[in-house]
Parts: sequence; structure tokens; C-alpha cells
Amino acid sequence: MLVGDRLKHISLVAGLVFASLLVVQQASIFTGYAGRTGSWITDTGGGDGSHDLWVMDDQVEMSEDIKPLLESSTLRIRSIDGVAWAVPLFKQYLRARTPDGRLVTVRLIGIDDASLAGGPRGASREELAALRQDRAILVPRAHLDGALRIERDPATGAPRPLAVGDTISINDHELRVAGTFDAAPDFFWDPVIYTTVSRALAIAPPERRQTAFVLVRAKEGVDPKDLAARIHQVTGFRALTTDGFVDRTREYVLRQTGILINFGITIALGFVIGTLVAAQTLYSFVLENQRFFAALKAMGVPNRRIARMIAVQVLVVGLVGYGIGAGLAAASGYAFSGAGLAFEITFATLALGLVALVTSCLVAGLLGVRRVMRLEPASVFKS
Amino acid sequence: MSARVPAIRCVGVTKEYGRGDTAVHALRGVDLDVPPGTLAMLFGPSGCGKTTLISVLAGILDMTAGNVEIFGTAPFQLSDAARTEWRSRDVGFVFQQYNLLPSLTAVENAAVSLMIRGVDWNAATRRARPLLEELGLGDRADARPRELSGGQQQRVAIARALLHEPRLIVCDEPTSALDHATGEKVVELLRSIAVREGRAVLVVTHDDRIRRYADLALHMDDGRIVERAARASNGASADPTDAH
Repeated sequence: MLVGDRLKHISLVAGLVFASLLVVQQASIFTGYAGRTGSWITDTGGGDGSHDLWVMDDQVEMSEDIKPLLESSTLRIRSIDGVAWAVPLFKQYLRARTPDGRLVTVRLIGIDDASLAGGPRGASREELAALRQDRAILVPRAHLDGALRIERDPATGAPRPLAVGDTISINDHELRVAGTFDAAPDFFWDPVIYTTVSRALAIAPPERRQTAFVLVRAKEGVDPKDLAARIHQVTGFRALTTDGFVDRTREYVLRQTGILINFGITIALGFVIGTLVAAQTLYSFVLENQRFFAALKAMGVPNRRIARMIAVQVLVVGLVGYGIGAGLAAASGYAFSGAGLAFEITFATLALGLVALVTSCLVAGLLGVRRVMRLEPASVFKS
Repeated sequence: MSARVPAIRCVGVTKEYGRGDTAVHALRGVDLDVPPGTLAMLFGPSGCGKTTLISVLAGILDMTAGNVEIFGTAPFQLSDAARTEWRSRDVGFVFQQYNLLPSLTAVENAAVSLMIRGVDWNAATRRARPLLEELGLGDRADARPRELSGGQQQRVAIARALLHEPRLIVCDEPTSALDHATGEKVVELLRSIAVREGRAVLVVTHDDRIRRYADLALHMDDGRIVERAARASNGASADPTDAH
């Protein structure tokens, strides 16, 4: 019957498409943003083998929360049973002056001079080895023509991307771009610049504590989680696996920034709009078709069968609306991916959208069904 | 079913809406016997209780007091579920506004009464086609209601009311939306069905032009049957004004 009323059918499907588009798209953008919060953590680990644990001050909440340890901390950690190796990692927010004189805030990362452990995964072995050159830094390729772009070349006066061979200065220390690396899109926007720990210590303003993290590799056969517990027991430091650190960072960011509540509101709005549109359209559909429902009841169709009929029709339009909406959400994510949209569509997101839409439709259908249940079959003779 | 069992028997049927001083007495003790093979027509002014009476007889409206038996079955002694099932089996409905489902074709609409009985879609539509042909709609079987004239829609509705072979067919103003000639054809058809199959057809109407087709003409007023006229054994009309 619903399909017979083309205008109502189209308006109902359109409402549900809009609702599922909102739910799936916003949930996917949220997932994308949430995923990006751990980009630097997962990008770290190139060079001489990958680490199992991040060790940090017990008060550190996330990757950008720097509460440095004493230099001796690395030695303490190396002495713990089960540790194969441990290297310091320097991290500090500093201001870099580009060749055209602009100041850009950067995240300066210093990695172990000897092993280069803790370098970016997006750098090749050769690019990473370039850090051994004098005053060398590695900069992210995505920022060459972005935050680090030279707006006015001192020689030509024209704008151009920063390039290998250019120099930037941090705290009056001149540094040379020796290589570049690929970095995953990051929730935190300041460019990450890599150099060695000793060079970073020479550049950064002196502090008593300079080791942001200690990267630890467990000996073969040692469970990293057991080792983490041992490190905490011996030193009082927090030791996390990469996944654990990513989770902690994501949870902190979501909690502190209100992203969750903001996206949650939009997603809830989509759900409410979907429910209202579906309920309003379905209810008016039921009202307009009361005589047909009354006729069916008079002719001997039981209430539960009419409820099933309405439920099937509602679910069919719901699934059609969801399919189109989710498809449009995926297409929009794909279309805007080049513009830096944080969009990650997952099975969980699709499942969430489906559950939201089906719930919307069932709630809406329930209102219609209730109306039909109360309908007296004898009313068929009054119409 | 024995021929001595009346198609419709009701004794002292009353129906009140509301209670106390504000109660509306729609039926005030209606007694009625209709034998099988009868086309009975209910006449009377608006609000006299015609629609209430057919609603009670069809088992879709509870009565306040009295007894009703349809071909020996007392629908109001059945549970709600059993009465719903009884209606789907033993009662056919023809409505003033046809109430054909707009998204279904004529043959699918006719087949609805069988589908309600649990017959699958294909079998039901297969069985509906010959009936539509019998009713002169063979070439319109695949048309949707909006593509049919009023008379054609009413014939589809009659096919729907007949296909599951009910014993009681209840019609509410079946000719009111039709021109005179089409209305007469529809009533002729209903009468032939009642006589041929030993069923009972109960028609509520304001249309005096079709009175001459009635085997039993009942006039209602103020919730009572105030006048009865049966067709004479020689076939003379139940309509005393008819010259036949």
C-alpha cells in the first residue's frame, strides 16, 4: 500500500536517506578524527627495529602531553630484567623560522643518535640515514607545501615549497632539510620535524628533564605487557604498548575536546530527524488509509498480520533509505578525501547507522501500528 | 448445512452507545430471520440503525444484548481470534467506496480474500481470474483501481467478496456511487449469487430503484425493523410499489 502512494513513499525514503547520510557520514568523520589522534604514535618506530613499549611519566595523558623524564631514566629502564634495548625520545614544541622569516610552531622529535630507533616509519632507510649529516632534519612531505611553505623566496621573491637543502632555524640554530618522510594525516596539526637526540638537546632551551619518552624493546619471549608492569613497579613510570598509548591518547582527546559530544549531537539529530520524518509520514499514511486497514480487519485480517504488513513495509523503505544514505555518505567521503576530510567508514559505523535507521523505522511503525490496532473494523462502514 | 437452518437469525438485538441518560440506542430489539438463498435489503433514513445492524450481523461490532446466529454459528460466542477467523471464512464484504487497494491490480484485489485465508499469491490470483471473467472483467484483470470505472471497481469488490465462497455477503450502499444502469447490473449479480449458491446477501441501501430485486425488503426506523415485505412465491417483487 505504501508503495502505491508514490509521493509519500519518495518523501519517506528521502527523509530516511537524509537521516542515514547524517548518521553514517558524521560517525565516519568522527571515526576518522578519532583514528588520527594516534597518528604520530603509530608513525613512530622506523629505524633500527621497532619498539614494544612507550615509557613515560606517570602523569602523561596523551602523546602531546610532554612531562619529561631525567636522562638517567633510560639507564634505569635498560637495567630492568626483560628489556632488550631502550632508547630516549626527545619531543618538544618549538618555533621554527622558515627561510622567508615566518615563524612556525613545530614538534621537534629527537631520536637515538646511534640506532635512529624511533624515526618515522614513512622514511626510507636512506632518508633516515640522512639524519647523520651535519645539522640534518627530516620534514614531513605533506607540510613542504603547507605549513612550511616559503611564501616569499629570498632570492626570487616567489612562493615555493620548502625543499631538501633549504635551511630553517630553531632557537637560532640553523638546521638543514636533509630528507623528507610520509606521515599519516594527524589530528594535531603542527609539523613533526625529526632530528637526533643530541642535536635536539643542543637546540632546545635547557631543562633539567629532557627525555619525553623512552622506547623499549622486550627480550624475545618476554610479554610486553608483563614487562610494562615490571617497569612500572620498578620505576613508577607508565609503560604502554603502542595500541595502549593510541587508546589513551584518543580517549583523552575525545574527553577533553568535546568531539564526542559534538558529533554525538549531530548523529542523534540524524536519528531524531529520521524518526520524526518516518513517524510523521507513516502516521499520516495510516490516517489516510484507515478505511483500507478497517476493511482488511473487517474481512478477517488479524491485528498481528496487519502489524507485520506495516513492519515489512517500514523496514523495506528503511533499508532502501539506509542503503542510499550510506552509499551517499561513502561517496561523499571518497569525493572529499583529497581535501583532507577525516573520513573512515567502518563496519561498526555501518552497523550503527543500520541499527539507528531500523530503530527509527520501528519506532515510527509502532505509532502507526498502534493506531491501526485501535481501529474498529466497523468504522469501515462510516467512511 | 441443513436448509432449515436460517442464514441469519437474530433475536432481541440491541446496541447502545454510551450509558445512562446520554446513551444512544442504535438498535432496539431487532428480531430477524433470513432464509438461505435470499437477497435482503435494509432501507430507512440515515441514523435509523441499518449500518449498525449489518456491522453486528457481520461480527465486526459487539451488540449490547440479544442473540445472533449466522448459518448456525453464533459469532459473539466465539473468541476475538475465532470470530476474526470466522469472518475471513464465512463473510464477504462489499463497501460503498469499494476499498480496493490502490497498488494492487484488479485480479490481485479480488484475490485478497483468499490470501487472507492463507492461499498463496499465485494460487489466489489464478483462482480470481475466472471469476473476474465471469463478472465481465476478464480484459481488465491487470488494471489498477484508478484505471477502472466505478461499476468495474464495484464488480472487482464483489469478486473479492465472493472468491473465498462466504455464506453471508454484506453490502453497504453498493450502488450509491454508480449510475442507475450499472447499479441494476450489480444488484442483479448479487441476487443471482444469493439464489444460485444458497447464500444470504444483505444489502444496506438508500436506493429505492433497486428495491424490486429484493427477496426480502426490510424498513428500519429508530433502531427497529418497522416493515417487512417478502417476495411472493410466484416471484412477485418484495417492493409493494413495483408493478411486476
